[in-house]
Amino acid sequence: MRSVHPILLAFVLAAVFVALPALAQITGTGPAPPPAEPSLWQQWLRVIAEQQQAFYRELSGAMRAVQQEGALGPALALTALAFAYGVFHAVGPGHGKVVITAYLLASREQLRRGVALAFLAGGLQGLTAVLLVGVVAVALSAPGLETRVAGRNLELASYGLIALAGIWLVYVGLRGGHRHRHGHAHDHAHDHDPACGRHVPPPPREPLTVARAFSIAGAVGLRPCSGAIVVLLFALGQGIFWVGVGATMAMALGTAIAVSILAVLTVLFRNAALRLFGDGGRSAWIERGLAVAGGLAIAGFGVLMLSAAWSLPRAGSPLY
Amino acid sequence: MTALLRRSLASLVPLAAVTLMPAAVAAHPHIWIDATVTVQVENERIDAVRVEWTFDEFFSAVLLEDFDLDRSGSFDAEEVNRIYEAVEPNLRILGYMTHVQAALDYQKLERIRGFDAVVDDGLVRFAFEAPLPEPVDPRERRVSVSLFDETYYIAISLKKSDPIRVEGRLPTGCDAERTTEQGPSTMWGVIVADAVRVSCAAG
Repeated sequence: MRSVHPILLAFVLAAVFVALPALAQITGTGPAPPPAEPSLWQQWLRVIAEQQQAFYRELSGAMRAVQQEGALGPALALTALAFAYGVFHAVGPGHGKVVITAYLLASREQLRRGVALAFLAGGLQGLTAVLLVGVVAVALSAPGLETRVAGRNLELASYGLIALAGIWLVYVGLRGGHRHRHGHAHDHAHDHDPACGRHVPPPPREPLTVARAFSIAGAVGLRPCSGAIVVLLFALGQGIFWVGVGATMAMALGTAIAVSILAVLTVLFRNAALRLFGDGGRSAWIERGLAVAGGLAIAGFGVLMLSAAWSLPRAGSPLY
Repeated sequence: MTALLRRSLASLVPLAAVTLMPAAVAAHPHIWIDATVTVQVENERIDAVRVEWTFDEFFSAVLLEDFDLDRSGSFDAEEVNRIYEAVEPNLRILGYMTHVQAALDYQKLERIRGFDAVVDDGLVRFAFEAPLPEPVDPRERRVSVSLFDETYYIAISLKKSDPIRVEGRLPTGCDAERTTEQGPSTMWGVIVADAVRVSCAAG
């Protein structure tokens, strides 16, 4: 129980970060009080937002440079910028991080699978954008507006699938069957192996976990990054579509790296929490609770995002 | 050594997780706007705000493709009207992304006038004027104008240089200054929102 204190401390610190600005909000009439000092948390958000904007702004300039000079130097500079933009894009809110984080909290996936999931989801998001623009705008030569409408439809489908995946996780967590843990790996084809006498009833096999992990990544990755779509359409308009594809994949790589760092933190956190509570019966309950809570969080997120995206205009931006 | 390292790392993890989680709740911006705000004063009361939005180069290209139908590189009157018809109903829902507060009361903007869209050096700029529902004397109630899109699809920030202007004359001792809005409507700062505040010295 020694490590309880730092955890408590962390929660208190985090609560202070969140609560401070709320307290600072109490305003009234009359002379102005001195402006509230932004909390560390807000400063951090601001730094991310400003960095994102700076990289985004330079991105369009770099694409122009490639188009005008067509040399290797500007192309490399563009790729590096796109990568950096991808990282900052993902450090800020969004990009399926809720889903990946909640899933990793809810499941028994270990580090390597967590990182693989993050990379798969991020890579798929970039790839979907490239395929979408490649097929709809390039091959079918549809206007940019129609391409963005198609992207928004994929986004809606993605949120729907995320909600379904969450519901599925809740179901699996409530049933709790596959969480049966074994000291040694063996083949469940033999139900009455004398080597493990207490092995009744036979645990359901686990092909679900791989399928489940990939369906989560697929559901997240089906949503093309709308930033990437706009960048690709811009490149297409400049006659340098392939440069846009390179930039998009560099962005996706940056995003994947940032999300996988969060994935690693999540897995470490979950394992630390489970270790804290020992290996007894309680730990199994905590695991099951995490699965249900994580599934509910994912389902809730999916429904929330679906309704939010649904209420947006057809082209998926709040403007029109 | 490794045990100690592992333990100290493990204690950092919850902090990181808890700090990152709230951020993960919102979406992130895909359109960036540089804004200027002009506070309009009539008889020592603030009665309207004039807003100018300059879009980032990518979204400018999107707007040009969608609305500059004759590919002239600028918007004629008919194209401006087309843009207005497309965006105004949606902007109204978002309170024109211009959130005016007089003391603690929100002054919901109901309409805009004088909408214009121009292309300046490849960047699209919208401009419009929004009357306040009721003019406010800044000496009685402190006025703030916060710029944000509550869906955070669009990030608006005040221009780096000279973003705030005053048209007409503010009462003596009153000044319009740049600040940030961190209230509940911005999820306590998760949405980074620049704001203009008009406040007056006591007396």
